[in-house]
Amino acid sequence: MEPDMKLDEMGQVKIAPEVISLIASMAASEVSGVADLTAGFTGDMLEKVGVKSPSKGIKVQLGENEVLIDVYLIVEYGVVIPEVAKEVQKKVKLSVETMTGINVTQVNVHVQGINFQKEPKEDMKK
Amino acid sequence: MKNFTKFFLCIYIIVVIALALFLAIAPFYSVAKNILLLLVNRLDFYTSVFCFFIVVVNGIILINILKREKFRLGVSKYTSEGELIISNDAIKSLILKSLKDIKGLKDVKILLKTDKDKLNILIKALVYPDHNIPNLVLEVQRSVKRYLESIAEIPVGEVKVMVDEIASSTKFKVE
Repeated sequence: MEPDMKLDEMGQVKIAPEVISLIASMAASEVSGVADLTAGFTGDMLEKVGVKSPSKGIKVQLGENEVLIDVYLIVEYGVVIPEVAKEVQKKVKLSVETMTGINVTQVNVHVQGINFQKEPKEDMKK
Repeated sequence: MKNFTKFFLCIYIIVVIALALFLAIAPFYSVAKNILLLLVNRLDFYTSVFCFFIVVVNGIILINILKREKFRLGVSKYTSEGELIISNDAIKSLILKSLKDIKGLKDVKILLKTDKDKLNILIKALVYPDHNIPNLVLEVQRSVKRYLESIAEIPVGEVKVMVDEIASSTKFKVE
């Protein structure tokens, strides 16, 4: 993936996709109701051996002057999922656009799991 | 695809790659070539059985991948800012949570199927004895539908409940 380039009077400004991922990751993590971002199978395996990615759970597809962002997350139990997702979309879009000036066309939210205090299966009562 | 299946698949792919590399280098290294020739000269009925076994294993893996791929994504909704996709695992967790407080259920298995714009659910339940099953099923259906529609705003179509078995804590002796 090529870093995003902007022509300026003083020269070019290049923003690497990793930077956009990091901004999106931080913005998504700050939303109330988001328990964690998921790194996927490979990321989880790497995390187990100590390799941590600061922009885990974020996939960035860069266009010429636009970006499409996929956010993979786990939400807290009890929250209204569409509301949390909407908040994530708004916050990620705002943060990336404010900090980089790149137009965010879409923020797709993938809810991969729910964070419970206890395992629900074990709690079933007679 | 579950992590165990993925792990098994990774091992399988690594073995296949190793075999392919061995075949690739065999013409250039005499040791590898000799091993290969030795194996070829010993082809027999058991080799055919082994190869047939490999074909069957490949077929099973392929069917599993295609089958799981169909139901992998979960439910998706479009908003003004983009798409919201709730995975099947997340929906299953929500359903389990909604069933947590229902008395009479020992264990459940959940199967999901998306049909146009609605989510159809099949719950296979293991229930405790001494509970009215129709009432229990009705409670399960109401609870799941209400919970999913309020928390995830997913339109729920059918909630089918199949009482698979009755859990018994004591075994009777036949004298």
